[in-house]
Amino acid sequence: MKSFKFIIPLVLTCCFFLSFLMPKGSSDRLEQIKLRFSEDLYEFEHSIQYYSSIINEYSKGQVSKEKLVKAHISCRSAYKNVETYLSYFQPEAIKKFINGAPLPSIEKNTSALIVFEPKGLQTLDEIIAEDQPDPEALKSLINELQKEYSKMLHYQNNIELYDYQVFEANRAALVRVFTQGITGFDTPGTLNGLDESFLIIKKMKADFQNYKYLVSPELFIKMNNSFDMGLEQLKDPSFETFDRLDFLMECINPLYGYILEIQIGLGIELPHEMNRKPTAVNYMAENIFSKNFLDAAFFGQLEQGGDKASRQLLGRYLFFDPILSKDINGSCASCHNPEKGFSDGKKLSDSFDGSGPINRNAPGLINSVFADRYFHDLRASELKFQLDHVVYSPKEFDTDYKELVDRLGQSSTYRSLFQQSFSNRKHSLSAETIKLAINEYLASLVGFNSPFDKYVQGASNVIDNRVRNGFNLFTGKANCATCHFSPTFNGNVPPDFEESESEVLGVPSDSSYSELDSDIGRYGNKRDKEKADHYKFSFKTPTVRNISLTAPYMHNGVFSTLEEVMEFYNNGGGIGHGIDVPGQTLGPDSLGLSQAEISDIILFMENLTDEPIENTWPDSLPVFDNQPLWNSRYTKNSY
Amino acid sequence: MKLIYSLMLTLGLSFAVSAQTLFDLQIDPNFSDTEVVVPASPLKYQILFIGGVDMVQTTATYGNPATEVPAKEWNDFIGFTPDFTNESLGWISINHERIEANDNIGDGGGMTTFRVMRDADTDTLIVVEQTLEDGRTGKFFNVDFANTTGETGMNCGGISSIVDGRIWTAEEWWRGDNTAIADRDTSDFIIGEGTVDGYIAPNGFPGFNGQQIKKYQNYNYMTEIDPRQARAVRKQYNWGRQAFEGGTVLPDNRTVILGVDATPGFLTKFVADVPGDFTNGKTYVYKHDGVEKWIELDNSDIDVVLNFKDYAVASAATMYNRLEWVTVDPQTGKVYMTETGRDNPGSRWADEHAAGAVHAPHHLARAEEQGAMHPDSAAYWDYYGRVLEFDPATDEVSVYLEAGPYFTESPEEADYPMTHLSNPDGLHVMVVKNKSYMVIQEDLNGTSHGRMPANYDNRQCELFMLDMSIEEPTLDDLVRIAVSPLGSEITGAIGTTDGKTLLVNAQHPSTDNPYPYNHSLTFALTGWDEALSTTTSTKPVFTEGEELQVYPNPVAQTLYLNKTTDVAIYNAEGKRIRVERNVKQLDIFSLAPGIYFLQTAEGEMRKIVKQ
Repeated sequence: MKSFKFIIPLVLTCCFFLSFLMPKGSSDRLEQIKLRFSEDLYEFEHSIQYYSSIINEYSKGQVSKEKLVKAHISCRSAYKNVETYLSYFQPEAIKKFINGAPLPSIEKNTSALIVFEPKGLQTLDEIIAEDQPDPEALKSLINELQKEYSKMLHYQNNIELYDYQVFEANRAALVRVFTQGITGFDTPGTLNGLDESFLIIKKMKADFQNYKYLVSPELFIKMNNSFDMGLEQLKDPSFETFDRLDFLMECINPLYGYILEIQIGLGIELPHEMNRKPTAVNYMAENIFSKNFLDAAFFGQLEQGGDKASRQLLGRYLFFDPILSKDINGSCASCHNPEKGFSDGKKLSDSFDGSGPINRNAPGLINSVFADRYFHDLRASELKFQLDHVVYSPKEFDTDYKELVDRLGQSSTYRSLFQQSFSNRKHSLSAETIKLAINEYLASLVGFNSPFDKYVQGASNVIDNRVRNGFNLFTGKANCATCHFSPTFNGNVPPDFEESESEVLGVPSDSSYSELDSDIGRYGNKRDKEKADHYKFSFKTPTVRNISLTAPYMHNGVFSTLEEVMEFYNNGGGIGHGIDVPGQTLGPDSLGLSQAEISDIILFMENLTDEPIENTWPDSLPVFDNQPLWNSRYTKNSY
Repeated sequence: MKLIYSLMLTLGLSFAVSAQTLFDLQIDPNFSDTEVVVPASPLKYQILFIGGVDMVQTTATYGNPATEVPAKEWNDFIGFTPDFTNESLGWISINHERIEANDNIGDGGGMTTFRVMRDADTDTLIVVEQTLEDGRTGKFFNVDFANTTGETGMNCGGISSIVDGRIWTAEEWWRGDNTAIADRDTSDFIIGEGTVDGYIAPNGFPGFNGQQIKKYQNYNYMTEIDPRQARAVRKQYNWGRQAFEGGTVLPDNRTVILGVDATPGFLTKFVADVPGDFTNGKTYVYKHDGVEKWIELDNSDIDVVLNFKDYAVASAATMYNRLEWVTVDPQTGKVYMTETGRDNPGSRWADEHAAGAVHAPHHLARAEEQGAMHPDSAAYWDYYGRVLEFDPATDEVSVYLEAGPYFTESPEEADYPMTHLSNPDGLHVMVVKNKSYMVIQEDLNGTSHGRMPANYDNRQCELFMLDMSIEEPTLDDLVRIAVSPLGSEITGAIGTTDGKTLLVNAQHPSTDNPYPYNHSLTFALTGWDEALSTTTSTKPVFTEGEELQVYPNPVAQTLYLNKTTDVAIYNAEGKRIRVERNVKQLDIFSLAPGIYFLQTAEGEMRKIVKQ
């Protein structure tokens, strides 16, 4: 990286400050890493000051834009040298003040709706890329950055560094590099993410050299080879031609596994030994694309204990059973058909009462458990609340749990299944257990076994060059992966994957783009803290996995083919097609993708089709003892 | 012992280990040296009520007949009403914070009440079956708001009178228009009658009956309920329409002190003309710099009632940054309240300040200390909150305990991150054998700015206990009590009047905990009379010396160490099961009774017997 020569003497004169940051009584390796981190913390502080002074001069017309951009890039580079540990130790402050997404956010934990304007380096990156960056905006952002960073340092001073933190922080950094660095997410304006990723990997390699004499030479060499491969790839790359798939296969995934292997081998404590709350990321996964990389039980709220197999079977029966609908004329599968990736192939789904279509398109359900919000408008905050909306909706099941408990209780088969599944409860059949059983089934609908997955998991060695190109475009030039993050390719924000994002795309009401679709999306989800202007016309970012099964597309099913979808994005969404879209979060400019590139991206997405889910249509459903009419309610594949 | 240690190093490791900070995966379990016995907790744990699971008896509502349905969720405030007839111990009232439309319970938030007895042999609580005057029979009862006072929303805190156990529920959820409420009927509301469209809610309030207001304006009151009959009594219109969170009735049974969870939040007082009759009396807001510290607002004027805040501003009342729970120490009559804080309150109260309201002195002082700023300044921060004390004898409000890492106050920078307290919310003074203990519960506004220290990786709200005989307490005097399942936030803590039981709610715990720990729970922790007769409410004093000393606290389910170090815990087979870094105390709540080994970074070991 470009070092600040003028800063080094300053760093030396501040040794007393550094000695304050020095570790107390830990080992050499940790002292080395902490010393390096402390120096870099200090250097970042100075580069913010320097950037601030350049902005000041720029505002007076004393320096060129070129010099301004240079100071910006230096400042971001200095940040990258501390990001791995700082975002591990103070994630909320990083997100809120230092390097959060350049989008408004909502104040948490208060009953009133307060919108925070975006701050920090990503916002600066966006402004700096404009033809004539607004000096006042730059000034106010750099001042905030300076202030907040000095506060962060304050709380960093007394923090010890431990081995497990080095390993956890760096594994998270690998995920961040792959999902946010090389995709351009982190540098929306300058697209300097590849250079920045180089810095992260370089520091990571340096830090792990401190473990040299603890690790078997063989493993250590393998690790260093992967570091070197990555650094070689990242040296002087072009954003458009960088082979991201190669980088994943040669650097990111191997390191993600080796670093865990070293941690386990050294007996460094693992998360499950530290009395922690569960997390979305399963730390023990060795590969970012492993089926178990994200924990379905975390998202699906599956309680530990209980008869899982029985619950899953029960949930499967319930999913396919029309008994849940008022007129016993349809089930979950009516709109979520396994043959169509658990969607229905319709623009808008049919209502159960014959009154025409409901308001939105039915999303596919494979891998859908990986979200912290459900529905296109993100209205349900937990999977168990998702079912409530279907049960109560007058156009869907149009019933209530009292009725469902009453009906299901009339089947001795259902009663004993509930009893077996929920024997630890006073009431084994209840609203709660109906929901939990269905959750258990939904959480079992996990794929991650598509041809593409098999390649990146190392289970297959072959990949079509066009698929490779499609993936590289998806995660690069086409900007898809800045919202559809790897490995779920949905809006779960890495590296924690615990928050579902939504975007304002400007989806039209019809495919001739006559006007903006009138559905206000998230703004109208009845969560009063989300009735914020920036959520108007905002919709959840769904997964593109299994997308070839789930046409038509978008919340209103406006596009019937992936070609139409790609055309929409390639030409700047709603605004790009001449529609007035307030607060569109999708760039309005053309992506400049050729037809060949578009078809490669589509081929890549088609390569994300999982193997068919095994446990779908039951051969038959539980019978009702005294309700002969109900017993003819179901024939396999009937709707 | 050195020998064992080096033996252990060679066990099953293919890697060379150079430093003691790596704990072995396996140790020799035949170790025998100093044994530390952790007595079984004198507290008995009982789950009384499970939100969203236990069935409540409802009244006929919205045209649906009386029936039995699962209770609402998100248990928050707990009220305790002693049974003066001694037929039972008393009634417990639970707030449900979660808002939902519900055909049987009623729309909005809600409450559940039930009656408990004490088992004469074990002192544990038994939920007893009751038949109420309206004919409902069962154990758990939905409090009927819909057919009495009109619905309530986001029932957070409340009042549990220390005089006679009367209960009010607080509706913090500030509503500004009809689109913001979850009611099926949003037609205008006539006090004492019900909605224009015909939902009857006859309870009303003397003096306001017949007043027609918007439906949303029937939210944001303190609403009194009768826990014995599980029905609402009245919305306390005369205390104003505010984002109430907590309150307390003083021993005179005339004065009520109320906290408002907003920025600005005004400290409000009501004084009844006649003790026990809260329908007649005067309502005041606090003004610390006034000649008269309490400014009366005309509570007979419906406009004042509905727009209480505007009148408080116009009276130049004192502004606080989110007042949450309010409680009184029955032994001294002093009132304590949490001011939970808000990161950057400047923009939230600058307009009100310009319109006349004044800042509390501690905010002015803090702002100045942050660099000659003003509380209205965008840069003014109030991350951690605090506990305030109000002395009715002098009418003075002062800071009782400043939360933080707020290094100018507490803790000492060197004690951070071990010592910290952020965004105190729930607050209660429990009296056990004539000693007062403050029970403080956190509700974090965030994790930045050192609120959740980095070594404590996870966001977890904690419950602390403070021996109130300590003069000028600091954060170092707080004893953390580990009494809840992983990931749950403790709220609503309240002691039974006999000093034996602390009732607590574990609100939305981790959903993948085993049942029932994946639901909002109301727990009873019984045995405080016994537990606090020892010295376990304060931290141990260790003898001088470097050698490891371990002191168990069975009440807090904690092992205290005489030094800060890294610790590994091994099970009886010698397998490593837990590692904690840089700690001076260890939470052993989740360890099953049995034998464990504790090893420090210095290689010292202790055998721990958890009974």
